[in-house]
Amino acid sequence: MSIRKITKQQFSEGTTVDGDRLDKALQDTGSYLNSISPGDSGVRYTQTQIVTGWTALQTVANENQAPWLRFHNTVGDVNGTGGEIAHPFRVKGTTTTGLTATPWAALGSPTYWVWTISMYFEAPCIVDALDMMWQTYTASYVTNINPQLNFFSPSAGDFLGDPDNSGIQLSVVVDDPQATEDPIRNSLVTQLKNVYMGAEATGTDPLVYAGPVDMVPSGWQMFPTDLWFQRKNMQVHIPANSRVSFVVALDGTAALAPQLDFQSYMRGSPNFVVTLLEPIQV
Amino acid sequence: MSKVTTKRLARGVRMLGSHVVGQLSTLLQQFTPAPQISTENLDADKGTFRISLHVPVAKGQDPLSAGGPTHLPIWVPFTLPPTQEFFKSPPSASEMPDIDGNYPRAVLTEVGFSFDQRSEAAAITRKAAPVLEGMLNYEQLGRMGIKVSLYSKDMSFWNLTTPKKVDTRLLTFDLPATAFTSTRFRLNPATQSNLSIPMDPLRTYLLEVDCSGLTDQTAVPLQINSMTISLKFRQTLMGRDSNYGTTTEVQNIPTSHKGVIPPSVASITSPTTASEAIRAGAGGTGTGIQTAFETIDGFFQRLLRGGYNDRSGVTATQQISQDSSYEVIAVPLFGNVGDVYNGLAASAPVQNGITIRTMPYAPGVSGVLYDMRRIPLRYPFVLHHVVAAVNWTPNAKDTNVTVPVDPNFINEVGVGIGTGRYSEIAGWEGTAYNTWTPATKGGFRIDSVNTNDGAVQTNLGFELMEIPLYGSAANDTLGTGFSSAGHNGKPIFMGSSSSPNATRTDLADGVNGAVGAVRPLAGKEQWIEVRWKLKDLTSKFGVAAAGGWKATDIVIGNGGYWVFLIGKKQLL
Repeated sequence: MSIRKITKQQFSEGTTVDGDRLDKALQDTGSYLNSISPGDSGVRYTQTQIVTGWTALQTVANENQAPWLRFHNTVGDVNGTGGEIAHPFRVKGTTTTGLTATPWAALGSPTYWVWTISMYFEAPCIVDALDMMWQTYTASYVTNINPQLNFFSPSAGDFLGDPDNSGIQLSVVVDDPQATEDPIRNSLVTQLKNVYMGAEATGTDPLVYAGPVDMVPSGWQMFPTDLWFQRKNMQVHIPANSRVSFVVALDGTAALAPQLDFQSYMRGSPNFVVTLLEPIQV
Repeated sequence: MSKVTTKRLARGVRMLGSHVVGQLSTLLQQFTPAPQISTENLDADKGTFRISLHVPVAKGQDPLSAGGPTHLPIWVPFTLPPTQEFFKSPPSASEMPDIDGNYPRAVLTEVGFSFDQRSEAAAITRKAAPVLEGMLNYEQLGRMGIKVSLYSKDMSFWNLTTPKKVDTRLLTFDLPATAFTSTRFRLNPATQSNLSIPMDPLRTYLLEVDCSGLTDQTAVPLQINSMTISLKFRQTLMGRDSNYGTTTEVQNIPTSHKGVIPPSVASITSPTTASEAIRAGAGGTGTGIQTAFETIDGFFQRLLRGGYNDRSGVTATQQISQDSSYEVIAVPLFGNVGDVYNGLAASAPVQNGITIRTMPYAPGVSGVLYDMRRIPLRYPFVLHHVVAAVNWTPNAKDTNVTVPVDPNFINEVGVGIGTGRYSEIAGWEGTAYNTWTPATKGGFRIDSVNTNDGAVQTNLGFELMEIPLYGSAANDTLGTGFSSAGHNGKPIFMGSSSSPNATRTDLADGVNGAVGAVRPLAGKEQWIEVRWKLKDLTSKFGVAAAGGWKATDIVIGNGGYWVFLIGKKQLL
């Protein structure tokens, strides 16, 4: 063994131990204990959770879909004059049906819809977990939206009925510091897609779990359920002075039924939580 | 819990065991038997926390040439009360507010702001036929100048005579439209850093985001999508909540450790013979100089430990005694609907607001409007206070609105813990709850900003309400907090756990409730759940009958309601 941290002095059998060295070692030790560096601690982070979500309205009809915005930027999406589309595709890694961005039409037209939350991190941090939930109450909420968002009766063409679908995607994107506004040069540091969604529902289906104890205020007629995508222990390190976007994308590019389904998701009440680990500070 | 000192060895003085080994033994007491490594000893002694506020959309009004009003900024109020061990009862008349003087104040260090521009140097349109919502508009981008400000005022809880308006501006920064017009570099997201603004735990803060250009004289109205504001604070670390004695000081904490820091086992043996030679290694009757230094050095070689892991457990030994950081989790509810008004047939949507008739859950039939959020418990969190912000702010400037006074209009706010994801059991346990009517809410209100309790008001309007934690006098689980009735429960531990940490200390089963005989979660909580229910089962918010509703009654203000979960998080 040797003394590695608190002082440079070492004391060995058979060698001279003088008072100066002992005194130096003692003073070093006292100073060290009064100014312990972060590197001497095995616990240097605390978690931060960013909670987002809202109550969606029943009707969309080309209004009230915000903050969902179209993935494709096309001239058909431009109101007024001037300007030029710089980035037809704005989320890297999102599956496209071709190199031609589809034009604007009604809500049901084939396109991705993306919801983007951006943040600037001056200090480095770690993305620890992403949790995306769609919440509803089995009997009531769904009757107010059409098509229905039904977690327990997946049908052919539903997101839930397709184990390999890519209907919902979560991405974490870090801007290139040399070209912050060019999506093509972004770093796609995390992407979740092709999630088997039927397995991600919260197991509070009253058909399966009879009579769980609820809290107050009570839910709505039945117990709250949701579709919950969770990825944890991600260990995605974000460098200092980074611009980071957390993106949720809904695929409306496929055939008719999934298009209807993605509209249901847009009308469901989403709940997106980002868990970060941020270092303690001097 | 203080800095250590060592005495110098004087030349010409006979060296005694106490001079070296004795001093080292004293230093060892920083680690065992009662670990005392505190913020006095740590270079990095400050935790950080964020109040991150996501507003799904902020909309402009129709062109002013149509005769309507312009729009108001987005406002969000919040407060940063001290954790329970520093929180004392409210003062009586003429006394100063009473908070422990040792409470470490939070300091605002950074403010971040962003919104979604579709990766283009363009503004985003609001629907105003024939223009669709969410379209790109390049020529109107010059209207997108944004001003972010932070104001404060005294809280009525601490100062009964304080006015209902902010009196101090702490911060303002402008993001001119040119910040968003470049195709090469835009200040989106933007951050204002290197701030050092101390926060007062006795005051209410009001964040303001003003983009006056969303409404124009003649041009299409614009909107801000996915507005995200993140206020970052630093605050000196604190000790963690624990049950050192037999009384329950922290509810629902694993009984395997009760929050107590597990000490290390280590010792330095002093020589017993006065004339014994100083030796490096173990020899004679003592430990030896080298061995004694190595005993202390070994703690640093193995790295110091503290806090909890993601299964609510502790390491076998820990050394850091102050391992907890202040935490605020800002939870948005009802946020995407703009301003929502009552359901009277005569009530047209007020200046692009909507009526409760178009809300989900059919409140005009059911009499209920509801929202909830879930926050996964990745790592433990100890809840100390819950504060709810009720929003009465319309989107339209200088428009007359009123706060509902219908006696059947009921608010219910609950915070609980739940399980059921990939789980063999499912269920919830409540941890905080409050309900009020227009007649009773005054008893729970801890501050208000520009509210007029049923009489006409315009523009800004908020109330901050206390949501007491579960606790009971019978079980000695009453803590300190905003509750004027003295019924805020003691702190409540929340955390996922493995089997060794599943057995928990008592948790009261209600506000002033007894200890529940049945613990449905059995220490297996996976998430925090926040629910807010608005009810009018009698007149259905004015849809079924007029009741006490007025045409100007606003139900949910622009930007929605907020619930703030305030407590401690631990080092990881």
